[in-house]
Amino acid sequence: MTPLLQFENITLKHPSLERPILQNIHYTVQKGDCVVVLGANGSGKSSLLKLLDGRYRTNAGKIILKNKNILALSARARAHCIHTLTQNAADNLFFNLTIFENYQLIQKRNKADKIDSLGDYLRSFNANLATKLDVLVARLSGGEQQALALALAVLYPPEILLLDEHTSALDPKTAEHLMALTARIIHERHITALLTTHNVSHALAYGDRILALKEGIVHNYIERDDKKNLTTEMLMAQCY
Amino acid sequence: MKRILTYLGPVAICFIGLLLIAGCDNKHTSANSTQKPIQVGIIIPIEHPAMDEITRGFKETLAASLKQSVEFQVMRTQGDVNLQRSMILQLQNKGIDLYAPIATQPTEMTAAMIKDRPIVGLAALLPDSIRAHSQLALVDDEITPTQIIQFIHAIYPTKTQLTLVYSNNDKMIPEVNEAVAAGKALGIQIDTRMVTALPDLYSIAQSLSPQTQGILVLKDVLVVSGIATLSQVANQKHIPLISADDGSVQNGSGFALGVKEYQIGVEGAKVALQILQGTPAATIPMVKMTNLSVFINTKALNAQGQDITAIEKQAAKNRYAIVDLTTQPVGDLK
Amino acid sequence: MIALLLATLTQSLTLIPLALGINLSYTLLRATDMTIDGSFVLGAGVFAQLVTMGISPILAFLVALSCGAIAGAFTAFLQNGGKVDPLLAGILTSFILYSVNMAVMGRPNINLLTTPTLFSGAFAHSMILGWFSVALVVGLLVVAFYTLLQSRLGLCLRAFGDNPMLLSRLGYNVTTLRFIGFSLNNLLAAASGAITAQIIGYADIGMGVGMTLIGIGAIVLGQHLILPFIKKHYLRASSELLAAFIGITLYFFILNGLLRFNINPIYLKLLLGVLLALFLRTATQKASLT
Repeated sequence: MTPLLQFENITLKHPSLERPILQNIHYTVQKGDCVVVLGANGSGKSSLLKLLDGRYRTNAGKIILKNKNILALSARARAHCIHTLTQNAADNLFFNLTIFENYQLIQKRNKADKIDSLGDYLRSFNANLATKLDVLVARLSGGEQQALALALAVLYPPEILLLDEHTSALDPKTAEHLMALTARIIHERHITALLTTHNVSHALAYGDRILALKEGIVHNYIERDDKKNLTTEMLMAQCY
Repeated sequence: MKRILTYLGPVAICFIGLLLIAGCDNKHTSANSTQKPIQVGIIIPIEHPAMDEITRGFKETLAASLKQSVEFQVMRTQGDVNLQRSMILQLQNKGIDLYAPIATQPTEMTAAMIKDRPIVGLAALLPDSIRAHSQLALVDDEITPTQIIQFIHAIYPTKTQLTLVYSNNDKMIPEVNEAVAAGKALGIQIDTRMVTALPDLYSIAQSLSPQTQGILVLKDVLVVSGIATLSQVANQKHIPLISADDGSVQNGSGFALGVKEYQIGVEGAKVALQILQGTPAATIPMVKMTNLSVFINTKALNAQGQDITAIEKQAAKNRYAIVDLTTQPVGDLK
Repeated sequence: MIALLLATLTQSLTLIPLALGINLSYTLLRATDMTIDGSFVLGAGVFAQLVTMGISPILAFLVALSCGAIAGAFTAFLQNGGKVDPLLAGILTSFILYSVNMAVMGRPNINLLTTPTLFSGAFAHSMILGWFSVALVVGLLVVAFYTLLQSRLGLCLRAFGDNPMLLSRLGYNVTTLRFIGFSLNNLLAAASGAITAQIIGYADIGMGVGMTLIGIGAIVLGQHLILPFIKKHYLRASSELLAAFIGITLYFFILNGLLRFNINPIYLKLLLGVLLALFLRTATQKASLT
């Protein structure tokens, strides 16, 4: 089976930095994997995600998505395949539009059928959202905003969902909720996801596989079977 | 509720204030209606001593020659089109009997907005076709560029290269064309330099052709505002700076052939008087200024290395009055 | 009092399309588009030049609108690639337009007093019919604009102003949307210019100075008064429209009112400026609270 996504010896440099942000990354992601990328600040994990959604370009190496070099994809095709959620809800949603308008913008782009009831759909993510279809996104709470962003992101499931510390701006309880919701949704819908986090216990609990980065280099690959033998403390010691 | 009040409070106060003022205003006019002085509205488009001179000439002459009492409403529009429109509307509401806008553009706007009252356009130039459709009389303040070029040629028969600096004001373009043609007829080649904004004047002044034997400025508000810049260049090159209005001579031009601004107001008042006595405005022919003066600034002429005797000789020959403005403070002319 | 209201209404009527255009750029696209100072004159100049050449006023009006749209498209073009920010791009276009306007008009002032225009026939008949015909043309533009606001395109333009990065990541063509937005906004400004030229009797090279500021001031004023009372978001487009009307009317009401105070016009701009600054300040404070 050909893998969904391959990083082939990726190197990313910034002209003002001496050390490459990422160096010789070689990694394969299968369809349906939930990969957690762990690492300290500056380890290059966010940059890895930004290479995928087109915000950065590699200096060396290739990223292959479904047998195609990712650079060969048009912005539109890439947008169709890859969807990103960041910690800043203002990046993920149109703040000054209502929930329904946000939905309209996504629904139209995918030229897919309208869903029967947006309210019913959103209820499975967050009960409050269903009653606020005509409310501006800016007026929602942080937890509601991220739940909505997730709901809209998987409305027409992308090939790959990128979650860049999407819970880190929330309070611990809401973050826990959102993380559990995210894990449930991506498993139920068999969505391939790459997520970054600083929460090691989340990584162990929800990730199928873990990629630990240190200073731009892969420090450790942890596969499904290795996870059982790890504790939070051990993983913490390895990554930070 | 408190929030609403904080939003609406200041606005409501503004409104009530304005309503009161508007109300008082109406009462004021109705109380005076028994006496009925003639109401004359003057529209001044920009702040300039020349405008004040025209206004003064107009006011003094009209007040002195009218038997009835006359009230002047002076509107200063600060060069703002929206403001000008508001002010004309306001004059209209006050029941003005005669409008006296100064310069072409305000005269056009007044003619477009006011159809039922006479208008005397001061220092304004509009085609006769437009005058026929409205109650519009005009006093043209321009002496023809040909007159100026001929006068210059008489003073300096050997000069063959002049530079004419002008702004992109509407009325300048035909005048510039006329000046160039008049120069050609007398064997003078006139270089033209257009200025679109005052800050450009400096660089234009610095890049005049080295062969030029004199700088010429017509009656051109924008360029005249920056006459000092041209005066410096004229001093450096020892060439005369010649203009067409008194204000520029006070500010550093060597000499000018022109009309006294005050006199434009006087002529305008004569036209206004005819209209108020019953002559239809459109039938009054456009008034051309005939009393020309030569304004001189001996200090500036010295700095430019120019001799005054030739100018005096030609002025006398043409019977132009010589007005020495060397020591006159700016904006104090009669 | 009635005279004051009439003066206010007739003055604001001609600038309503401009206010709508600024609503589009300032509220929807969230960009301060200074092109308007130039495209206002362009609309007036093109219209005046064409009717003087004997072309039918309707055709001249349509061409004037298209020229405004092209000016806007140029501003959008300058912004491509994110090299020039919208404010600077607008100022730059407006700067260039000064020369273009001179070239189009051939002289700085074109007189329309005796030239047939869209409204000259109606005004010759009676003042009421004249203003009615102006209101009709403005009304048509308003209806067209309202339809746009309610449409899918309107939603996309709003989304563009809100989060262009996300819109682009969703696969929308942001460049096209920018072209459409800036073109429409300057088309409306050109319409205002062409209508104004017909009312005041001439097109003048300097008539656009400060128009953007008047428009933004009016929009902020209007929205400040209206929006706190609008809770339902499906009413947003109508309330923005209403805010533009009220804002521009209030602006001229205050202007005409201040004139009646016999305030020296030298201080008029200072007063209006301070008033607008106060409104802008409270508006931003409110925004930062939510």
